[in-house]
Amino acid sequence: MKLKSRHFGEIEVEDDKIIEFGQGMIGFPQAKRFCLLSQEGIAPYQWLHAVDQPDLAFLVAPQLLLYPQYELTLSDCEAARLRFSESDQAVVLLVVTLPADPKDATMNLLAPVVIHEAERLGAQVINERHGYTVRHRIQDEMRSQAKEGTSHAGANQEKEAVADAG
Amino acid sequence: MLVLTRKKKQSLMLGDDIEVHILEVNGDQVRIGIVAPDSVRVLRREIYHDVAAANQAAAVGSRVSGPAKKITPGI
Repeated sequence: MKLKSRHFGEIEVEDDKIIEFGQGMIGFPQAKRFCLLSQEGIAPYQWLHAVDQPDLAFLVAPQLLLYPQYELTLSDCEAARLRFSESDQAVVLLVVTLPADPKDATMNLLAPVVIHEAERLGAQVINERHGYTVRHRIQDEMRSQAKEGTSHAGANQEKEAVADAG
Repeated sequence: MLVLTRKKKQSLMLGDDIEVHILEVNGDQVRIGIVAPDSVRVLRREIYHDVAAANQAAAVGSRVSGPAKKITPGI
């Protein structure tokens, strides 16, 4: 189908690239189908774009890269809704907020996006057992990772990618 | 706002398919059980508001543009 994005123009999205969000994103209940768009120069960030809403897109990035020590507890109810069985691997993405100054970019650790890739199902879930917040500064995270010596080569590139996306 | 009084073990129906059960009352705390279809998201109100506001801030505005850089549908 053709996604007529207000941000990126007309994009051809194959049906098998569409991910169903049965409950939508929190606060955006009408958008129930999304696709992930890669844009040259912003990897590992991607756009989670509503298929049926031309102006709705979120900047997201894999939790593994932004916050490797992240802990996610998925309730049985949510796991069942996304048709996860024990052996299935979840794709976990963090929603990024990019203010005017990219240095102040934050990630939402309380409400990650969880995708069951094989089933094409996704949900924004509440991960409240670990004391995470909705606005966790990405730069602080990169700094503390660098201090602990757990930083990886990609960290600086990711920051540049954020700046680039803005 | 509609206000109703219920006792422990009593319940309410919201529409035809949402049940709200009063399970336990302890001082100023109430334990509530909810049965709702999969399409209905049930959240504590303060969490809903925090996350909805964060999503609102995160949803991209007009400053993001393309297709100057190539766009490819992903997973």
